[in-house]
Amino acid sequence: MPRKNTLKKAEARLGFLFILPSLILIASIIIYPLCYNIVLSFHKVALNPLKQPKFIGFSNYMNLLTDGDFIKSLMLTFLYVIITVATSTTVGLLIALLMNRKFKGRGIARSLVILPYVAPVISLVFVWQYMFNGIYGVANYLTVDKLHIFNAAPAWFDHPILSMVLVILFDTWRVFPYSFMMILAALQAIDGSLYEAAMIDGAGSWKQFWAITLPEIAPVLGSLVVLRSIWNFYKFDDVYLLTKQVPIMGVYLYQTAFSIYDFGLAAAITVALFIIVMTFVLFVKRKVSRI
Amino acid sequence: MKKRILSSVIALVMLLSLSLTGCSTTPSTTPTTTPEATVEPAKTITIEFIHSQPEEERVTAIQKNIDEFMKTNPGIVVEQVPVPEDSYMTKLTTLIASKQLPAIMESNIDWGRLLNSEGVIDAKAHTEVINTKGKDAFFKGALEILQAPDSSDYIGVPVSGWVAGIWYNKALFTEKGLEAPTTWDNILKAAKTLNDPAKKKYGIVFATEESDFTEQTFTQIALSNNAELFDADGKPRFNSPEMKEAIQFYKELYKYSPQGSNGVTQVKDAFVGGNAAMGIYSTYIMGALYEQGMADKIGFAVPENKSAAGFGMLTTLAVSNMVSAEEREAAKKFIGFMLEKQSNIAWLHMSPGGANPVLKEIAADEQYKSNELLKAFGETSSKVPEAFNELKMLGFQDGESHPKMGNITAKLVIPKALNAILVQNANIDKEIEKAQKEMEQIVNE
Repeated sequence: MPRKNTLKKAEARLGFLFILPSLILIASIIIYPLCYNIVLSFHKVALNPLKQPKFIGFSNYMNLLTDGDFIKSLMLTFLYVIITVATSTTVGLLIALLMNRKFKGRGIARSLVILPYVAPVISLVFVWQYMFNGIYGVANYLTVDKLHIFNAAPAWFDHPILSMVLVILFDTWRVFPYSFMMILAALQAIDGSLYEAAMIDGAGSWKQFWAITLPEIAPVLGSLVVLRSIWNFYKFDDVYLLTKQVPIMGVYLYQTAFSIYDFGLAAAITVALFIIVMTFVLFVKRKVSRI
Repeated sequence: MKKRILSSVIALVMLLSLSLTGCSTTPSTTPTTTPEATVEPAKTITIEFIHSQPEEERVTAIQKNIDEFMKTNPGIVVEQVPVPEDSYMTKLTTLIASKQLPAIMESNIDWGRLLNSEGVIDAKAHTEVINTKGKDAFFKGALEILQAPDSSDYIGVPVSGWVAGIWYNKALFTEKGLEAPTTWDNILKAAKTLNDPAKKKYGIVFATEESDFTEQTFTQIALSNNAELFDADGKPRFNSPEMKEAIQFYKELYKYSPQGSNGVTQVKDAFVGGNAAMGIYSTYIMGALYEQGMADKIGFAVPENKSAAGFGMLTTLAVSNMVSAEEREAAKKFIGFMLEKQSNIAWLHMSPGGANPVLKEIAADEQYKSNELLKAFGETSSKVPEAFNELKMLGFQDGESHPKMGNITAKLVIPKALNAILVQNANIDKEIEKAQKEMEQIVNE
């Protein structure tokens, strides 16, 4: 019996030795930056690294909590995340259901659907900016010149509400193919005999969707919602490139770090965001484990 | 037992290789020693030159200059690091924070002011290069405006520069009997007369977005009204009557411009595409106008109200203070080389018309003037470099630069206020006061 225990311990040591390289890697590229960021958040940090950071305690956090722009940015980010995650997942689900059916040219159609997701963001942003350009944009040509919905070209990317609608539309259009691919893979894994049995029992398409399809793809949908929420919470590139009227958290963070060069405050923002996102992840994890 | 030993060895090798890779900070450059190679090779200094000219033909032109330099300076290796202009300052900021700033960086007046206030450039090295060339070799205004606010040194060595003004369609002005847009009255009258938005024709187009392009454009309007940004004690006076008048004029002009946040692309497209009769832009528009065969159809004017405001920007080369003494000397040598005739003309001809000479001898040089584009613009292109003698900028008063002007520009205080007033239709007085307070805060930091 003691010999067995020694063997187990030795195996455990060996196992630990095997995972040690990965642990060191994780510590150096995740844990160290995380801790360093927390330290930075308590300092006033100069752009010049030769100047020593000055310890200022909780000042950055106090400034953050009393900054109206930060609160506004946080609320705007919640709104952006909720709407974009809901729309991109719903559109992805609908297209996946459509593409799961057999029809002529399905292969080409599936390839075309994923185009917005694989194209570089910067080229897509330019296309959208040209589409909504006041002088030669197709959106104004249709809505102003042809359909006469507006008397003059609206300030698409300058009006706070219009620009919010457009960045939501852009994100939905760009990322729904990701949801589509994940859901389609889950749909194809559903056993066909379940539908046959349901049909024999007299269940229609609507009933089959609620009783078979949705429960079968629910884990995938759950993962999609969590991942998309985390990614969109830190969204920066396309929103920043399209407009300056939607200061979501990623944009606010960038402006703080690289426009006003307040690295200490920027670090405090990322710590705050980390806490928010971790709370969300832990909450969802608990919900999922209960299921 | 054997298996355990083998596994332990594998794990140890993995761990060692990982840690050794992680510890390596520089690629090994030690040459393999052979019994014959007993003489130590001459020490080679490698310096990096970061710039914002990533276009392929410009990278090739710069590389030609570098190759030429390295031929005559065998102990120095110069490596160029091209970065797109949009992300240039972000890249520099990251490099500063990680103490990895290259020895030489392309800069300009705005960036130079900021880098100087952050204490990351070697202003003395710039002065040494300028003194070696001789101060008289440069246009007077070009050097004055680069004087560091806290010393008698320079925030960069000028290698070229651009001038901004109002470009206008001469045929349209002649057709309507309008005078050249040299005064506020002429500009406004022309903008009103030539504006026909129903036909997608606008009187004028200029920068309104939240970027430094808007500050540069507005500077010309403000300074033509003698609206300085600081008083004699260095306190901000964005709320002065002259400044408010300039903002009101800018807003009035906006009525006859394409609506929205217009930036470089929108202004250039609208003017070159014939949708705007006037466009406020730098000499960098000359290339596009030349390509469209419009060189002889376009006029250039500098706006004037209480005084003429020749606004421009100098492109400089700056030396980092994060490098060794040898790298510093090598950087100085390379910048000195860039001021020599052949290399300077090659730099200017990368964007003829846009980049203009800051050295008097080059401005008068036949080889420089022989470029097809410069010949096509005739008198306009030959007059441009003279503007560097009387360069004006916000924050540069009585021969001195305000030490916090770079920070005000970097934080986009003026463009944000103008965008709010023009595009968002915000209350002019409230926005002026908001910007004034923000500037006071920056100055008092």
